[in-house]
Amino acid sequence: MSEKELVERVQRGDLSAFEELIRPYEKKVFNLAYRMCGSVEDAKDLAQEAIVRAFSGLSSFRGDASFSTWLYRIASNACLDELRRRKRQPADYLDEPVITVDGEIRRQVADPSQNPLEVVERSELQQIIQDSLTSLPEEYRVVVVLREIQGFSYQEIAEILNCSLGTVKSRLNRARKALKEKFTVLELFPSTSVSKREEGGRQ
Amino acid sequence: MKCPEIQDLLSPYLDGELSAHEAKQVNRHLETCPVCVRELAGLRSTVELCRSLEVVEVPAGFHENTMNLVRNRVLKQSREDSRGGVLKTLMGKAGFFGTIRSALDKASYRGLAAVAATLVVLFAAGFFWNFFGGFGVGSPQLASKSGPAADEMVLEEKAAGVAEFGAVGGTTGIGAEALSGTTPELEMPGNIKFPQEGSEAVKSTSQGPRGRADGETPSASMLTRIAPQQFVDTGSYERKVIKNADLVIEVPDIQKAYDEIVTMVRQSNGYVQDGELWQGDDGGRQGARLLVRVPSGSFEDLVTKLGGLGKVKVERIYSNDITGQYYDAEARLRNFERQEQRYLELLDRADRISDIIAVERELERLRGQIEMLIAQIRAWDSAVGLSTIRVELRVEGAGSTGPPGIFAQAVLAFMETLKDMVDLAGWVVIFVGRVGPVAVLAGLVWLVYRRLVRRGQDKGV
Repeated sequence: MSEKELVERVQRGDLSAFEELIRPYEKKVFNLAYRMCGSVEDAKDLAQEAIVRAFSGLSSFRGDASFSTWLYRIASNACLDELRRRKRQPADYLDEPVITVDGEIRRQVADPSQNPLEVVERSELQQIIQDSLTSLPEEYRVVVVLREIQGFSYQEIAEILNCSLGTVKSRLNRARKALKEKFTVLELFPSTSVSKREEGGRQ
Repeated sequence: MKCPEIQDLLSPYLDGELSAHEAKQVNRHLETCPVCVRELAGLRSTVELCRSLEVVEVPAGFHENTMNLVRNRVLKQSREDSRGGVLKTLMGKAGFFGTIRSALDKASYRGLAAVAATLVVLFAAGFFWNFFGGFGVGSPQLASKSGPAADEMVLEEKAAGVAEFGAVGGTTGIGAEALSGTTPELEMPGNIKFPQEGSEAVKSTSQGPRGRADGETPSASMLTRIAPQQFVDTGSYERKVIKNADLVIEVPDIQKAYDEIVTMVRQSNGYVQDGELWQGDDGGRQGARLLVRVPSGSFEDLVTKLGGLGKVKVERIYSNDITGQYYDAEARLRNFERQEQRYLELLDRADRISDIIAVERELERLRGQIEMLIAQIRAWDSAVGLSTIRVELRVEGAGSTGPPGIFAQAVLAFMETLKDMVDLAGWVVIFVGRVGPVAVLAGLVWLVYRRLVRRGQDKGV
């Protein structure tokens, strides 16, 4: 059954059609969310939020864009919304003691980056790259994720993010330059001789 | 083309997203420019590193959880749709709500939502103020005649904070007076009236505001003067014991004994907080119950005298020694106040806004702690100063008839429950009246919010 038919069935209220429709995308949406926020737990919430949003919004999907572009747009927006909302939220003051019945205790906070399971499961390099990615502004991060992780073309990214081709081009350019700076500082690149060789290969 | 322009094209060049013409230009430039070649290599390595990020597996149970969320959404929607009938007619084009809606459509949703939200907050605040206002006796006012406007603003905030604490903590009643002066001032004389005969600590409370009386401290330390300092420096370490007693006494004449107790209590400078007299149907089974509060100094005396009224069936005296906790709290209060003093000195010296804000935040926190401790100490003072005696009077011999039968008890229990239910219903009605207006406004805000969210989604789609 084609995606178009499935969409139509969902629009008529067929929930199992939605399940069938969304299943191939779950992993992609989850990875998008994961690369955007850098934590499995948050990514789970974000991806679920995106899929629920997609379901509620499907009634207004008219097939102008392909379903996948539309879904990615919703997922990207969900991630951007959430990340921006979080930035606005004032953090708790860590040095402020917590008052309990037994008196004051110092605030204890779980270190989100140090989930032992995650640390063991992923290699150090992967973590460093992810951290650099997470340090980019969201608008740049999303372009990098869509391009390098999800492999979309510039045109597709422009459609997903609802912006011009030029914007995609310049954002990706700036994001890559920023990442290059970070990677250079972190000494992730092979020694300069490699780039020399590459230079030779080009010519 | 120069290097910077070329370098802006390198990223799309890598992706093959340049026009043929641009690509040719870049190629030609790269042949002669080692700098740009290195730049390109760096970008390529960057892209490779990013692409080396592995695809992560979806956590276990993700699909099921997500589908459950979707199902819940469906259920919610269908529930809303079935409920929507009435609402939709209300919200239809015509009618009152329709007018509001079209007005809302035209006007800025966000602005209206903000106004409505503010209204709700104000209503809620008013509601809670009314509700709890009864406890706070004093209403602190603020007199500030001169001084920079910024100072006044800060002062008002502080005053509001103090007023709140006064309302919450000051069950004994804090009289806060407004004192006008040349500089913005705020004082809260601690003229708390304890029912006399209390401890040393209590006595010293009646000395009133020190700062003002001594005239020693300028307005810079006004915050310290807000705190009634009477709990500090008492010097003596008397024991702090809360004493209470329960008495059940059999007397020949309930009414007479009741009157006698009231007189006795009055003579001991106490008062009857609660009194209850009842008469049985047959005129024989009477009883009375009293809740008496007396200064702890006359506590033992009164208990003995009460015992003389008749046959004491039950006498239970219990006390709670809070000496340790009491002086502990006092010491902590002193510490906090010293800290506050230091922060105030810092505040005088702070120039930068960020410093001032940081210090003020600390001060606010300290003030909260201080108020909490003061309220606690005050409550203890009241409990130590006043003992509670519960007296139950029974007719002589009536108690010996034994407990009522099971059936009678059941009937009594049934009646009690029935009464409770009627009471509860009454409270519910009152509650609805109280909350109604707030709920209507909240509903309005919710509707607007929903509209906003829907719009946001539509935009996203």
